[in-house]
Order: sequence, then C-alpha cells, then structure tokens
Amino acid sequence: MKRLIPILSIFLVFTACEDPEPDNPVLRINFKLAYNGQEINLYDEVTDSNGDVLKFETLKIYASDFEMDDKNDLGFPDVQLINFNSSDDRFVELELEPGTYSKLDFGIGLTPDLNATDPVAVPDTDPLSATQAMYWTWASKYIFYKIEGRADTGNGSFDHFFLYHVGTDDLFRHTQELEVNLNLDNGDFRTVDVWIDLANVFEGNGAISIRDEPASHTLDHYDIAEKMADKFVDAFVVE
Amino acid sequence: MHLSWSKTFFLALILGSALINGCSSQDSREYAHVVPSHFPPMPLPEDHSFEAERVSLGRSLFFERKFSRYEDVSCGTCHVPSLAFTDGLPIAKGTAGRLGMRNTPSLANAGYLPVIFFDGGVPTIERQMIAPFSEHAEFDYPLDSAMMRISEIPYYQEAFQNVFGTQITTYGMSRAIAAYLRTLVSAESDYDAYLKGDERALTESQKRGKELFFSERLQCSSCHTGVLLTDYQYHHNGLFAEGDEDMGRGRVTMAPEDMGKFKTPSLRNISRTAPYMHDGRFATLDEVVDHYAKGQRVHENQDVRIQGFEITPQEKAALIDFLMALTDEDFGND
Repeated sequence: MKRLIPILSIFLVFTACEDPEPDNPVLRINFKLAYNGQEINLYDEVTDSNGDVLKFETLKIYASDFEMDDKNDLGFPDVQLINFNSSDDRFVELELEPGTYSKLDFGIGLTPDLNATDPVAVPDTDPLSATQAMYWTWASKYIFYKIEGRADTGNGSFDHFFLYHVGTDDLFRHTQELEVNLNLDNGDFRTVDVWIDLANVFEGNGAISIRDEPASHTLDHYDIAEKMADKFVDAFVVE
Repeated sequence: MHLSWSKTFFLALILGSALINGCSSQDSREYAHVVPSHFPPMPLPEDHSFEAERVSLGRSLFFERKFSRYEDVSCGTCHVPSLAFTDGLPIAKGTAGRLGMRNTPSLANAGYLPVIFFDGGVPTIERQMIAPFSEHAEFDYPLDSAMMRISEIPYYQEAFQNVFGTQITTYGMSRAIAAYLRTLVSAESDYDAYLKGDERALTESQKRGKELFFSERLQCSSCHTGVLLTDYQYHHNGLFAEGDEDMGRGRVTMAPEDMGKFKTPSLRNISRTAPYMHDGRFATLDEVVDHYAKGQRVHENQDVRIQGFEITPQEKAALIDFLMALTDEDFGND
C-alpha cells in the first residue's frame, strides 16, 4: 500500500494540472406558438380567415438533425420532443464552438435512423420512449408530430374536430434555414425564439382546410399528411 | 503459501457458500422451459431470460386489468388460456366493450412468431406489448398512466426490483411479458405424439385426413406447413373482394400487391380457436373447408393456389378429424 501512495500522488498531480475544459457557448432555442403573428397558448381561441374559431389542444413535435451553419457535430441532442402540452418541454439547448453563426435548421420529425428506434429498449425518460405516446405500434414507426383541436364552424359549438398525426420516412422535412446571426464566445448562454405559426399551415395558398381536410393518421389519408408535411415547414419562423 | 486454520476455515466457508448459492440460483431462478425435441430452436433475443420470477411477473402483467381505461380488460381477457389464448369472438372487444378490428389470434407458440399481428406490423413480442395502450378498442389508456397505476401495488415494485433491479419501466414490462409469452409452447397434441413415432396416436380417419391435408389436391399444407403448421407468410385467401375495408399487410406497407393479405395462422389447437379467419367470419371448420373448396376468385392479389377442389362428405369429415388431432389438451391449463 505504501508503494502505491507515490504512484497515486503522481496520478493526482497530473490529473489536477490538466487545463479545465473551456465552457463552450450554449444556445437555447425556445419554441413558441403563434397564430398570425400573435403568441397563443393551447386552448386559446383564434379566428381564421373563414370566420371559424379554432382551439388547438395538442401540439407535440419531434425535432432532430439540428444544424448551425451546416455543422451538426457539436453538442447537439439527437432528438428533442417539443411538447406544448407540457410546460417543461418547449426548448432545446445546443452546445457550440465559439464563433459566428447565421443559420439554424433542423428536421421536423425523425431521421430514418431515429425512426427505426425500438421504443421499448430506451429509458422511459428518453424522447423516443413508448411512454411519450408518439409511436404507431402497428406500423413500428413514430408519429413525427400531432396537431389536434376543435373548431366552431359557425354553430356556436366546438364540435368540429381536427387531428393530424404525421409520420413515415417519406414525410420527414427540414425547416427552412432560419436566420439567427449570433457571435458566441466561451461561456455565453444565448437564446433564440423559434415561432411555430400555425396560420402558415391553415391560412393562405395551399392551406390545410380544417373543414374539408379535418383528419389524417398519415396512411389513411396520405394526401392530407403529405400536404401537412409540406405546409408545416412554413410554420417555423424566427422573428 | 501457508494459511492458518482459521483462514482456511473462513475461505472454505465462503467457497462453500458460493457453490451452494450458485447451485440454488440455477435451480430456483431458471424456469423449467423446454423446447420440444420435434420443434425447431426458439429464436431468443439476447436480453431474454426464462428466470422464474421474470416469467411470473410477466404472467401477472398479462392478466392485469389496471392497464385498461376502465380497469375491465387485460391481455388475458382476449387471450383466454382455455381457448388456446383466443376469446371465442369474431372480433375482439376492448375496454368498455368496444369492438376491435380483427379476430384474436392464438398465442400458442408465440415465441416462434417472426412478426406479430395478422399484418406483421410489429417485429417483436417485446414491442407488441405497448400496442393495446394506445388503441381505442383495447386498453385506451396511456402507458405512463398505466405504469403509475400499478406502481401503487407493492408486489410490482418488489418484483421489478428483484428481476430488473429498477422501478417499473417499459423495458421491464415488455421483457417480462415476452418471457411469459415464450413459455406458451403447445406441442402435446395427438399429432405431436404421431410425429414422435406413435402410429396409434391418430385414428384411421385422422390419418386419411392427414393425407388429404398434405395432398396436392387440397394444398392446405402449402401454407400451413412445417411442425408449426404455418409459413408465416402473407396471403390473400379469397375472403375479400376489391374495395373491402381491411387492407391487411397493405396497411403496413401500402403496397398494392399486399392489399388484403394476412399472415397465415398456425392450425395448432384449432378446435379451440373458433371462429375463424382474421375477421372471425366462419363459425365452424365446416365453413372454412367449404370456403376453400369453393375457391372463387375475387381479388387480383388472391393466392393462385386457392382455386377450389372437389371433396366428398367423408373426406371432409376425415380432414376435420385430423384438425381435431392438433389439439393440445394440456395447453392453457396453468
């Protein structure tokens, strides 16, 4: 034992002399919900251009494949479940190298590799766990996002349900490149707000019609799901 | 090296204790699970175990009604042991009596299933475990809420700690239920005795039925093949015309050539698994044989082997007699 002490001492000295890792800058992306540029919460009532009153009640989205200026090999999580039905799950933090960044983009949904995850082989705290209720067991695939709610289409009652569960590898999309313009130094902690403006999905040219296209579980109404996948890209904006 | 008597005694004590513990561990922890000699080896994932407490936990979870929204159904409600783990209904019923989508398949020899469900949409028994929770006509109760419910039961807390060294987890639930399902081996029918060399295990009528079953004329065995009496492949067996509801395998692949195809079920214990077909449309084996004898072509994906055949009443009786010989009387009597 006595002979071990000098060896241990040397080891401890060398360990202690190593430079501490510099604190890489961290970017927190806060996801916020909006309709026509106005911040909303789930269950708020918003009126669309047809005069229908909408209430969004569920919004859960997988985000993956994060890139800052086309770099994705830093301290980025593989996947984040952005859950507006939970107050704790509306942000993601990316660890970066110091430097200047101008563009952010990420996948809306899961990359094919992630989509092949076994949801009963990961911890229950994992975003891909079966406990997140974002998995189609019958198809062995994840639901990329859920948008659900009800509308009052003029009769004074919120009795028109709408539901969009979009998935499958073919409907994986990337956001447009979102301008962020950041200059980051070691130790910095910065935030960027990414808005999900649902009016960009349900209003305007090529919009999803809540009246005429009220539901898709993807494979039952693939045309609606595909349209949703394409339109949902437009919902993600940085002010 | 010289050891004092006291040290020698102490070491012997530790060694002896380790040996005893090791032996008792082997004896008490391993489940007495034996794959029959005339069956193929059962494919097992790396993290599978037949440890007794794991299987017992899986059995408890299988019959746990707290998993369903109204605490009224469990896996075992549709998979009734005495009915070879089916339910006797054309279409399964879930919580609050909600009507499901298809006929309940038997779980006999579930450990051999290469894929799960009539449409093969699920690749493992472990993963299948989560399906009923999200289905409106099954448990219709969120998995995490269900886990909260059973976490109030001391037995489950203790069993998960003992088996997995954790609290109640999805991983543990899936592995425990899968371990139980893999013990549901059915291999003790009269036909099994015949396969193992007992010529007298089948009656003369059953032997004639067996000849018909394996004949080129009827072609039953071209899909219901091997010792497990299934090829586990997908076929359109002429039940559905164009435009019918259930897409079968096509629901999973969306491929036109898979529409209306369903995985071949095993015929083991078929006397207990009525009604038949994925939609439970035939109440008796008589009706099933009549359907295949008719052989009418109704769909472009229909299997070419289903062309109809002539069969006399005596031959039909013999064929059904043979199918009766596929019943394992002891199966499900735990």
